[in-house]
Amino acid sequence: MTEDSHPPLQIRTSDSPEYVAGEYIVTVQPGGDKDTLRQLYSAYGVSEISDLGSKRFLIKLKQDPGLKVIKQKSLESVKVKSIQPNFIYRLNRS
Amino acid sequence: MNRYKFRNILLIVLMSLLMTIGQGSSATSVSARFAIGKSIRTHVSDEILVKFKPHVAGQFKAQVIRAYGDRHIRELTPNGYVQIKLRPGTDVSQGIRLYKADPNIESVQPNYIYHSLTVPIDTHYGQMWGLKNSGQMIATPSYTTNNPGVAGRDMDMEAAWDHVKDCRSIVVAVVDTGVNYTHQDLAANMWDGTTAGFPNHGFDFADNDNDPIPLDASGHGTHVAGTIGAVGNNSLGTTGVCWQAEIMAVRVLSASGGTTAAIIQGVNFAVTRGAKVINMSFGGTTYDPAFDAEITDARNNGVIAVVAAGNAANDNDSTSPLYPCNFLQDNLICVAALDQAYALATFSNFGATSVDVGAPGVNAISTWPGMTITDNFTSGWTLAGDFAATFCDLDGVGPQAPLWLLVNPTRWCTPPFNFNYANNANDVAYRTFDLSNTSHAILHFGMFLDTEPNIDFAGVAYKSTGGDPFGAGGVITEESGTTSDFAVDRSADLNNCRTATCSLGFRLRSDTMNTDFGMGILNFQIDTVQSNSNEYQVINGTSMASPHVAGLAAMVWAFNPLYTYTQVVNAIKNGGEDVVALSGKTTSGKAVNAIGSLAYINPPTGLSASVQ
Repeated sequence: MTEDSHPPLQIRTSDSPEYVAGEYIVTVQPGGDKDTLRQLYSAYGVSEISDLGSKRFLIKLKQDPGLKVIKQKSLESVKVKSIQPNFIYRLNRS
Repeated sequence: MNRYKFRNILLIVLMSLLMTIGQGSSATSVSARFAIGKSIRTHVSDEILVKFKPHVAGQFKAQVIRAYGDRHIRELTPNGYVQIKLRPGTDVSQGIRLYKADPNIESVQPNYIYHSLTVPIDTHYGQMWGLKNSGQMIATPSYTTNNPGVAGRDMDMEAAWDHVKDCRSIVVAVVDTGVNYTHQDLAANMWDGTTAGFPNHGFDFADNDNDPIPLDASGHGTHVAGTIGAVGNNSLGTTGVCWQAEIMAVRVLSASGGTTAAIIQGVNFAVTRGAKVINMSFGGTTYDPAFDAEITDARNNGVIAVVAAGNAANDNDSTSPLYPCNFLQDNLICVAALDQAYALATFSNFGATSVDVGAPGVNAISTWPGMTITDNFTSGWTLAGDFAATFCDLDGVGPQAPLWLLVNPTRWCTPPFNFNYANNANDVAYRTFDLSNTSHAILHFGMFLDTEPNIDFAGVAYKSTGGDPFGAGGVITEESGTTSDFAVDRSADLNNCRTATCSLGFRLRSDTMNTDFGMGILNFQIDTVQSNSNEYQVINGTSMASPHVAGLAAMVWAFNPLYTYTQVVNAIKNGGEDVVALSGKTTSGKAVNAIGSLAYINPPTGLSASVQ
């Protein structure tokens, strides 16, 4: 116990990240599939890959290298069209 | 003037004439020929009312009328209007022009058609200002500005319901936090997906199962669904924009939000399972290519997306865009929130190029998944040790009004705010709640915490059989350390405590030395889902404005089944009511208006004309 008294108290909600850490949505070219992605991102420990339809997959990584690094990694495969974060959306109730 | 130029001018004049006739006299055969959708008759197509100047004698009136080849039907009032039937081949606009030019005539007008207004008998209808604003006071407002508002500032639903109430031909997907499809005011209007393998009226992409019930008891999606299509005229609760509807429940979010992955699957589900309108009352701040592509796919399938503008009072055209509102597809309608006087709601985002229309978005009453229990700790609690309920003015917190907290130590909120909890504490505070009639229950509260890290603990527990929940109950969580002078949100699943004697409690335990400021609990609330719920709530948001427009889209489309998505969007954007507060802040400057959208005649497309 080192403080002398409370500083001002405030009410706030939890922190609001814009995307889910370690999760990415990958759009593949024709011929790209789960195996393609599992191999490509194996260095980051792929824990799950889900088919979202329309050639898009959700990948979950045990070690998240960050968007910049994984985008660079994605360039190594011609079967990957694009990769993006799994963004978080929130309700518009005031 | 060369011949080429003259020909073009003639063409423009002809096209202008066609457009004018088509838009100005919707009941005439001319407009019917060029309008793709149905028209609403606003006046008798072959009659006019004429008032002669005072000096014109009765017999001479009949002569004038006969001279034009028309028929005198009757004099409606002495020295007043005469009802005239026009000769075949003369439409009302021609007749008006003719009589207006006659020196014996004082005034001339169409013989307008008036309809009875359709008023539903639902018990909360009188509170639904967005559908019918009589200047009523909302009894339990969650937004206090302009309550009451201005009579007539509404969507003119009663006039529209004279023409269409049944939107079942258009499936509307509520892509949201799930829908309590057992709600008494929704059950009959849910999408039937049984034959497609979806017996629970949709799908849950947040938890990846086929039951879109709001597991976390979030009422958001159920509220949105009710605004679109709560059963109308059933003597119960509220009515939707559509009295009869087909609502597809697609759960993609929890109360705390949802991800791109769930949302794009949800939109794809809605499009491929036949939804024509999708409501999305949520937003994210970063451009999302995958979501963008899904909206394009919806457009390519002729599906309209109605979305909320956002609640940060931001200009979405500036450096703070919000998606999906800021996507650019023409099948997307982004909606701002209006208050009861049709001022822009203080929280509503706007955008001269990104937000399209305004709609009622404050003090909106609609369906709710189950009862909500709030508690301020002032009665029914067993308080042991140094726990107390205290009415506390949180020091230094600007707009926050004083509120009740459950605190330990008792003097937690007593100046100079330097009182610590006791050593060797094992203090418990608890109360029993009846959760027996629920299918899901979630506890929410806020917590200030300041205890000796990893030594002294604040705990939360439940016990389904009542009594001290820390005796033989289930401990939900124990925390230690500090929340750094902030109250943080906490929630807990109470599904193992859905009994008539569910006791919920808090504990503070400490060791023999070193104490800190303790704990303060606030905003205690239990949200539930109940089978056959008959609950309703009044809430605010662009989330609530958006489904008013989604319902209207279904209504316009049901009324004009041959419309393309573009024509429905045009009817909504152009058929609205000019509102000063939306001028320069939306693309249309209009609040949506149901009768205006039904009456709006889409300009003809594919017309060609040539002058020889």
